[in-house]
Amino acid sequence: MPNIKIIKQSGILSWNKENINEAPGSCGVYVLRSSPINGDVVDVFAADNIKENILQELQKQNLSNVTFFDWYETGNKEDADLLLAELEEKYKLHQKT
Amino acid sequence: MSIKLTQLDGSYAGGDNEDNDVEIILGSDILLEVIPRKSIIHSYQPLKDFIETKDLLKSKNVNYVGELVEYSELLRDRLAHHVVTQEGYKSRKERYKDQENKTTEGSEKEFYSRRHKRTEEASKELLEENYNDLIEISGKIKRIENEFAPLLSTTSNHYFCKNCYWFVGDEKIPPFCANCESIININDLDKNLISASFTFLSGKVASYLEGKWFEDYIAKILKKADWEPRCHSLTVGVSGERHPVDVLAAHRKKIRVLIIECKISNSSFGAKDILSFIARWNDIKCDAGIFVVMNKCAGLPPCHKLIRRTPGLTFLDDLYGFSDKEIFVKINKAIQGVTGDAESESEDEKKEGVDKMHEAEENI
Repeated sequence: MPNIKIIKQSGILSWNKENINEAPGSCGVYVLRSSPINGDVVDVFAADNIKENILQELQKQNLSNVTFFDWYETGNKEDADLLLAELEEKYKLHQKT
Repeated sequence: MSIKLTQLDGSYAGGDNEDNDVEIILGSDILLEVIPRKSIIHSYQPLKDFIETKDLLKSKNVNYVGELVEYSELLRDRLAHHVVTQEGYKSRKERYKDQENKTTEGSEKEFYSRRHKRTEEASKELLEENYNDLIEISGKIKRIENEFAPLLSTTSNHYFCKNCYWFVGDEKIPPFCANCESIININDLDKNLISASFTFLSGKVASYLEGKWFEDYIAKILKKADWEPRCHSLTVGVSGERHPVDVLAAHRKKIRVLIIECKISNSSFGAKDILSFIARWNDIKCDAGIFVVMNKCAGLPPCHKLIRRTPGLTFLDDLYGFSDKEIFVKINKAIQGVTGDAESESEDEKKEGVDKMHEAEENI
């Protein structure tokens, strides 16, 4: 497994504007969750600007099941993509059953 | 004779659309378009084992499932509460710290310093209490699982700071606690972290066990009597509308089509569900429709009488506590009651039907 450098991470936070405003405006990955328990992940995204992307998610109507989130600042797109792939594999997202 | 299908438009063209697969059920005077939808039971063997439990509605397994769902929900709520609580305390501590830094020496500074300290102590006490609750709930789920044959739960680690019981996360561990700033050594996690192993039903399994399992159980019973069931699918009505149908079943020999709406108890449906079922049955134009409730019903909405007064529809409840064989007989009688098959059959057909039923009952 390649060594992914994570500059900073948030820990699991409540899905609200106050917490989202504290997210960094740089490259990284964010995870949307329906609960803080392991596996209750709605989706995972890589972003060039974590805060901006999460604020856009907040505007969407179809995310009523998102109640928690966390973010990981990687600083560069390569590490963000690697981390995204790792988390998608871990949480078994986007897999055909 | 061959069957030819001609597609007029691109509705069913290939692509990533998960609704792409379509099944056409064809028989005398029957043409049904069914869109199957994926269910977790197809990929999770413990759920299949659960449905195949002999005399499931009479077994303890049904009660266990109810308890597993309830405690898993409680675990989720409690952990969510833990996260919200820790955020609240952190925010309060930061405010007191800010005030303490802004004020000069004196009683006011001392006041904020005390408040900051008290908040820290209170937060640790409450988070520790909450953590112990989480361990207890997870322990209850483990004990239920130990008595339960098909193991439905998953177990995974959740990490808490040893110093302040802050919930640190489940996967990527940070280099220090966001609350007390204790350093976390990734190579020696036990030093500063508590690794709590929680047992719980995953979200998809819990959602399935809240009600969808009953549809698969009814389908299992129908299969014993030569019905070909399809669960959790969309069926296209004559209006072109796609209707979610709990169980759609076609009888191979008698060329009959049946839809079944499955509910666990009368607290899980209301007038809207009954009226919606009637509308669906009407649009799909099948031979019979059964509204099935697992528990005994009391206090039904007035419109349930519509079912009883509509030829072709029937209401069936009180299946809990009966064996598979007994439920098979109840459902069979209900179907025969609305299709009139028992009356219209010749003596030979009746005898064949009775023999088939006895054979199926023996197999159950």
